[in-house]
Amino acid sequence: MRRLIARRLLVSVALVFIISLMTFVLQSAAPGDAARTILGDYQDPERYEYIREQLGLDDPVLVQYWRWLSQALRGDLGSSLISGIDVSHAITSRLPVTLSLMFTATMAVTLVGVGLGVIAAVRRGRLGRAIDVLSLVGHAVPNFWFALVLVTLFAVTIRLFPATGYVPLSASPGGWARSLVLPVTAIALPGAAVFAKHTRDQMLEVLSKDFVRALRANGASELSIVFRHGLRNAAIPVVTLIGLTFIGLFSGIVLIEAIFAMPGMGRLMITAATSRDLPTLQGVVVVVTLVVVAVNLVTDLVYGWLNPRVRVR
Amino acid sequence: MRSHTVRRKLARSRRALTAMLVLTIFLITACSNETSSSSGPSVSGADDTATDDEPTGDELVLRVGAGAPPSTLNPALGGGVEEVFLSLTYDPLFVRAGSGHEPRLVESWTAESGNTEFEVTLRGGVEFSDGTPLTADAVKANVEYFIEAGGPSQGQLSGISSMEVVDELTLRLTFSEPQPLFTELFSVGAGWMISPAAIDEPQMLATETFGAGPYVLVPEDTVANDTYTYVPNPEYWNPDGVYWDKVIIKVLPDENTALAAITTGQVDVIHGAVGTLDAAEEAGLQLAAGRGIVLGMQLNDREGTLSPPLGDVRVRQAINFAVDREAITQAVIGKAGIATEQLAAPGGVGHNETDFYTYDPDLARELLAEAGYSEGFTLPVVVANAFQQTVVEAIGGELEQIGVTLDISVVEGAAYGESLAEFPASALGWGVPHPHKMGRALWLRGATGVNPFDSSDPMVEELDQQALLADEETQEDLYRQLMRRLVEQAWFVPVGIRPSLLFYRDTVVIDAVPGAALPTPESWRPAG
Repeated sequence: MRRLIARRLLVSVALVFIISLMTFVLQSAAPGDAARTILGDYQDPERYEYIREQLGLDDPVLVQYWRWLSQALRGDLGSSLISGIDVSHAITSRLPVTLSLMFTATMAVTLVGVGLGVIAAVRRGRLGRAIDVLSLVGHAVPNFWFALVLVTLFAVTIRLFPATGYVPLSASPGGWARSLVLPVTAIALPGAAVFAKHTRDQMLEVLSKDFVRALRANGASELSIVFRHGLRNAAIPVVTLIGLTFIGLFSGIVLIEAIFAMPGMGRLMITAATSRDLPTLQGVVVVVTLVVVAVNLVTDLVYGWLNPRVRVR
Repeated sequence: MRSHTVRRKLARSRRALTAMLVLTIFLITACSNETSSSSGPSVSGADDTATDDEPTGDELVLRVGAGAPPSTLNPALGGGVEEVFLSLTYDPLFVRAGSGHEPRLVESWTAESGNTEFEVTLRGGVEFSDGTPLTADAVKANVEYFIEAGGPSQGQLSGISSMEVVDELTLRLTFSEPQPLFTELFSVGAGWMISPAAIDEPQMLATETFGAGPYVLVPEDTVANDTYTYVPNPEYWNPDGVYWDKVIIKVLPDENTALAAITTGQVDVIHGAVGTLDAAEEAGLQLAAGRGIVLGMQLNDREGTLSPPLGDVRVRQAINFAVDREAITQAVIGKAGIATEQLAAPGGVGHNETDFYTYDPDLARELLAEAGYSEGFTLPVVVANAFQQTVVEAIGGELEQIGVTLDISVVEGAAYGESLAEFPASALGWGVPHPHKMGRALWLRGATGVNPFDSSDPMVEELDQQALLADEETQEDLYRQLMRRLVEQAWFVPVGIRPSLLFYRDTVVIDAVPGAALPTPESWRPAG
């Protein structure tokens, strides 16, 4: 176990380094730069050169990268080329928002998905077919359309939840929860349908195995078969799916953050990318990579705990 | 059979789960509703849906939903988008009033020697929010800083050849070339005065405000690109001009989100969009319309370098005759739009009452044939966003009739500026300010806005030069001639003007002047 973690940490460091270098090089190679964003509508050639020089954009790409890296290793992620705002500050004020969304959405997807999947596996028949159809719909429905429908129904027509905004947990737990209901539903419901189908398929496969028939013949209660034996075995691939879901949710979150006007990382990343704000983008990329690596590690550890056969000796 | 035991147990646990879920929702809703329903008559206009900070007692709070975040809080670098955020904290030397300008931080001013020498006398007793006094030296330091910072006004301010501090409150400025728009130059943008103490440490300007305006930014309650909170400036020279106890600006870039926010009472004013105009009217919101932007296409390659057909004025005119401006404006901009063939708004300087073009596809085909393009041709066009694409596609639909096919490319963000020189045509989306300003952006030699092939017309240059030295009445006539020349030469294909809009609840009063830019937030007052 310790060797697994140690090896993973080493790989993570290398991964963060490689990804940050690639991001930097790709951004620098793309047409346009932060100076163009600052100039806006008035692309005065003299001003452009002046600003480029001020921002250090005339130096070779690797020199610029080294400048960023040496600062970052000392804990200083720099400031935005466009607004001058400290990057660490921008990220720390937005990370809780995105993490709140991602964790609650993953939990919702898992609980609803697994719940529905188990029920459908045990009951079969119409419910099972309904879940198949819902899963297809879940795949096809665009997040943002669903979000707008939710807002129109539950925020504007029936004033049940706030139409926009995010309330920090520290300010008001009730407000925090309420501000998350609609965004999480928008992200989670389509994903939960897909999750339910996978769970159901896995459960059906496990429940049809010989050892289950043997357990039944030996008099084990149906409940223990479903939950202790069935689910635990079906959970193995499902756990992997949870990890992938968490990471996959990030792309949907960008749109949701925009629609609900939530100050999260998704929007920060998109704005930084289109305006070529290199330090901010680098900061976001590094943080996101670290989160992904952490989630993968946890998933693998849980997977190993659930399935003794793949534990690393 | 044991399966129905499982089913019953599952059914029970399902019911339990559902009950828990309903209870949780009820608790959550109840928990956070209790704070808002106890606030009594809410003067800010918010409904009893919970928001993150509640008005206490009868505190007057203005909540605004802005359509875009400010890219910077530094007035020396800010432009049009930043106006909403900065006008609350930075009073300018001159302020927009109707279609002209009025002194604000300035007490009086004179212009001499054909608009090349100006003397301004400042209002006495004005202090910045950090207590530093406003003096002629401070203004001089501001002009020098604005030039050094490289912001949008750097070009125009560089025309100042010398500044002389006459006395504590009087400054004399000399321009190397006539500057007919002195008061406009020192209104929004270069007119925003920053405390000299902050100019010495400009990195502070990214997160805090140091102006002589009615409010100050509260950095602790501000999340960049999302929420900006302001409270009254205790040092403000005109306490009667402070209407609110607090101003909160939220960034709501999606027009549907903004509409949902204002109809549920989360904000009192939003930047309106033509797409949600009908819904806003149905919801009973008030409407304020400002000058807006002119939309259409620019035929930049007037020499025919990349696209030989564009080099012939008959081809460019043909394109202008083939476009049904009324129809496209109605379809793309909606009922608030104004069809136009010129880069000027009705009531604005340079606007001609009569039109040069009519909607005449037959005439267009004749002109094309005369120029030798009866088979038509393909014209590559670059646009910066999805809305511009809609406009240009509508134009393209019309041009198909005369055999001209538009090949549209979308280039977003920072890459757009560089791509302009690679396409013979681009989208037109520009404000309609004074033609003196517009010329330096779009149609004069050395224009720094969108003139990628550096086109220049001798008659246009001549008329502009004459206008620099003329009196106001003659100026207007000269600019009308200039505008007509641009229309005849068909450098552009304007289609319609999309006004800038504000939707607001009846708890706020906004005095919009038709044909002028929208009033900025520091002038918005509580109703009643």
